[in-house]
Amino acid sequence: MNKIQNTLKDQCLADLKKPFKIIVTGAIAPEQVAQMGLHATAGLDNIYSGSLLGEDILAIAGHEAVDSIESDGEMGIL
Amino acid sequence: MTKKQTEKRYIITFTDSTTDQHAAAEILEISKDSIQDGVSLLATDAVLTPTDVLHFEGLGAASLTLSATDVDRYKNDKRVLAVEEDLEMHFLHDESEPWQKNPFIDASQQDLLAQSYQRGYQQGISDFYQKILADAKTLHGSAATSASATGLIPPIIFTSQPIPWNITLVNAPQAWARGYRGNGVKVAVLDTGIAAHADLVISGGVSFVPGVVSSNDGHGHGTHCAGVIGARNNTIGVVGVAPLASLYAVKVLSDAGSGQTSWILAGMAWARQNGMNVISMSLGSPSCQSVAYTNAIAQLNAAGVTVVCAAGNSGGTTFPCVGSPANSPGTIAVAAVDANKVKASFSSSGTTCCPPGANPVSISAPGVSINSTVPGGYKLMSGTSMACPHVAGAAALVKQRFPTFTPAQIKARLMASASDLGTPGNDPFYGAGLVNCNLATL
Repeated sequence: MNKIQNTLKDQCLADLKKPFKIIVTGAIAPEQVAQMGLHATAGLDNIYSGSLLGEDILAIAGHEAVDSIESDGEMGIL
Repeated sequence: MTKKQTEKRYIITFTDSTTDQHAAAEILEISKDSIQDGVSLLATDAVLTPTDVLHFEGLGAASLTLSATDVDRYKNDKRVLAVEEDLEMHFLHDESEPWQKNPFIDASQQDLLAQSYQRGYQQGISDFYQKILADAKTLHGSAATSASATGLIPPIIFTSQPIPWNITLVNAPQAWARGYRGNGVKVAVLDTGIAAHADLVISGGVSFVPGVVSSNDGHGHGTHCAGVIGARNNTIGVVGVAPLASLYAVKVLSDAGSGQTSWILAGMAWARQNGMNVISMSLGSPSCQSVAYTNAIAQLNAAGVTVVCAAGNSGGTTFPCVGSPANSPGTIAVAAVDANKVKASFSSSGTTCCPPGANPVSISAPGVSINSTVPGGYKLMSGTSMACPHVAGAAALVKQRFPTFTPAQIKARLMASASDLGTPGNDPFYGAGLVNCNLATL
């Protein structure tokens, strides 16, 4: 299963040393959240955010507890 | 202004009910820095001190400690309608029990309390009557004088609330007439914030924009959406779909009108933690369904929070689909129509979406040339952003009508009662049709 959002995966592969802001979902153990360099979203379960290098994003995608990795994308007024 | 112990706290009601904080400071002849927003302050745990001067936006009133001299001075100021002692109020009991007995005070205090209440009430009525009579004399000149001499009250003209076309189109006034105005329902506006406005009462606020502490709106978009939901039913400006709903400003977009998903998720979490009933999200991006938003919305729904989202403004583009987060299941995705109930060309629709089967347009609402509140006044705006708060307001009315309804039931109620538009039945452009507040609250 492709856990990483397609466009984000392409960006990570293109520049492994570049940091990307991401949103991660999954039932990840608290100590592993910190190890991955992520922060829990207070008030929401199993949703985390952080800024990781492209290579680290690809690495955490291999973690069983991780469900999805998406860009912490920009939203705007409609 | 030094206050003695003998001085009392008073409520000053300004002649002009739209008197804002700065104008109030001028009338009271105090510095603009020494007057505070009463609604915001009293919503906190802060202890009121005798020197605190509070202004109540939208009510045209202020509260402060005054000496007898001050009271006389303000009573003679034409910009002041009434000066009344800030009395302790009690709930009014059944007529068979004229005054609620308080078990914690003795009988003599009970009587004093009752007399104090009656005096305050009588004084208020008296002040109001004198003011009306004075206004009538101004309006009708000598006719009023002669009328009052004969015991007749001259005709008094009260201006009424202008009802915007979009509020009429969604049949909100019919729901109000049956008592459904959003009373007791908390609606969070996740947007650029909400600015203080004479036509709005803001019950609380918070900012998740990094480096920005205030939930004030430096853009105008959030204030506009807030007005569509809950502008007050008074004699000025506009009125919202649910004029008695409690509005909460959750600033998740910067004053430039954009924000990161992580800020928005934080705002959604706040809404969940703070018991919001409805959240209105006039924001998004033309992108495929997000797992994070889908998970977050499911958690909000489970906590009883109805999530209303603008469908998106990408109609006619290479991504005409409902955007994120409106395309997550569990949201009410709102398309925009004009005054003729025709879908706005910019409004995203539920065709060829990603992934297939993503949440389509649920319902439609007015979203073209909508007049609503902005900082310092009113402005016409267009977008599914403007359609979304109509449905958020309607959801508030349904929540008041059916307090035990879950978000799924509220969505189903709104869709089942909508006035069909476009192809008969549910379609990708209008969803179930035009939101109908009257039928939704029957």
